[in-house]
Amino acid sequence: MSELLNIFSIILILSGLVFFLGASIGILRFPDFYTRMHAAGKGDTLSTILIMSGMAIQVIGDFEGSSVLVAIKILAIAVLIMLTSPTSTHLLMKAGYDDGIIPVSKDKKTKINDLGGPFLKDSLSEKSVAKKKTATKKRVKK
Amino acid sequence: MKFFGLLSVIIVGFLLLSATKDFPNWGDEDSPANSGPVSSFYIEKTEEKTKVPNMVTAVLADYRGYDTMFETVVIFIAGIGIIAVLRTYGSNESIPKNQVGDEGAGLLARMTCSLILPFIQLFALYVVAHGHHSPGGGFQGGVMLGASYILLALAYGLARAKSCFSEKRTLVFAALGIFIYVGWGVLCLVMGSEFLNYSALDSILPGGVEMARSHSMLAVEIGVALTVTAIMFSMFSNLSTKGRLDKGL
Amino acid sequence: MDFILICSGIALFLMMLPIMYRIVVGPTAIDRIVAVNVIGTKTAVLLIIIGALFHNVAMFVDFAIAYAALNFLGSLAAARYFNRTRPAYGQVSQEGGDADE
Repeated sequence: MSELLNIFSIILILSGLVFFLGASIGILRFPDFYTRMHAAGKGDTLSTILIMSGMAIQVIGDFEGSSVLVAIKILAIAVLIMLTSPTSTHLLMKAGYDDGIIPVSKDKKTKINDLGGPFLKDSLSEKSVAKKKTATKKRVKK
Repeated sequence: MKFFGLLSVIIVGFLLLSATKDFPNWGDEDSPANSGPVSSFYIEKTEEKTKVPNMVTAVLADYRGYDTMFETVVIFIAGIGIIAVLRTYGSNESIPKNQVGDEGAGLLARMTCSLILPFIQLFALYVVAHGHHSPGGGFQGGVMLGASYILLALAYGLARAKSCFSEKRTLVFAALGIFIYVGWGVLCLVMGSEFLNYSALDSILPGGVEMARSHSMLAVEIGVALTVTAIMFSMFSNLSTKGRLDKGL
Repeated sequence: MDFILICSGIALFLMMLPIMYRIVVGPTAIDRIVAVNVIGTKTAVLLIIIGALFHNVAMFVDFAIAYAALNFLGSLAAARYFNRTRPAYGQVSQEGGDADE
């Protein structure tokens, strides 16, 4: 039984490493911000969960005293990362989209407004223009 | 300019690395830290005299109580200094009316934070209370607890976090932490012993002299944690709003 | 088993190097933050592996929890900061920095 668990945990850890290899190559090689985000968000989360599960099985394998508690803590980290990593990827993606990062395209003519998103217009252009106007008005008043 | 920055970093790094040669070897018996009677006393007698398995906590909170007390005071002074430099009162006209009020970071971030915030706070309390047996203690737990309030401010907006942990309450908690620490020392003084000599408290705490020292360490760590939590949140809210405390990041 | 743990730790470290490249080069600021976020997540994993190598996972798991939680805090703060105040490609914004944001 213990031997079987050991092999299972090793398989989990190695598959996690494979997925992280994919994430790493993706972050290095993909052409623009959004595709790199894709590699980072998916590969990183899945590989972390797989390696954490493997380590939890590895820790619980020797059945010593408080090792069950430690395994539960490791699984809690896996759940924490499963919740937080996609959320932070989503938030960073939205921040980049609002900032007007232009996605790569074949004809190199895509502008950020072509995506039809509501973000850029009200977050950067109009607001900053309006702010500029109010600032100049104030200066004139003074 | 960037080049000069890199050059200065390389030079300073080289100097620091070349200075590490003068350190004593790892585990050297003749080094000053190991040859004196103090270290061996801590290593041999700490668990026997204070019933605390984690030697670091015992040294930090008991044997060197003065040091930790004034470290806490330094953190308090840093927070007060940041408030004194940055905090501005009165209305600031440069913000348009519609930008006052901070709506937070969107639905997804809010849901995630509402899921993980209780566990972060619980973990922070665990770190404070479990410092006797595992790495942890007042400073680390206080940082985690303060970080949970910062997370609340980032996800739900600073107004929501301020409704939990207002500015007045922040300052009261920061002062209360130091009051607990110093008051515990004065309590030892009242019970007829030296300042911060916890073994005098065995008549009012259960479990004999050793457990009195152990419990006193817990009380002192709680004081440290209160101060660190309050100062962390105060620093964040002042730095992120440039002292106006009206709108978060 | 220790051999496999050491090998996987070294492999994790080697796979972090391309991400380090992205931190140094990354054309936009948010690229760098994403790379830092990935490395932070993997640092929690490395802490667990180091703990298993020292046969003291009970101690290292606390560090890993704290690291994972604070990592999320950092990326959330960075996302909100760059969402409001800075354009992505690192120019200073036209109305004189972020003084009034």
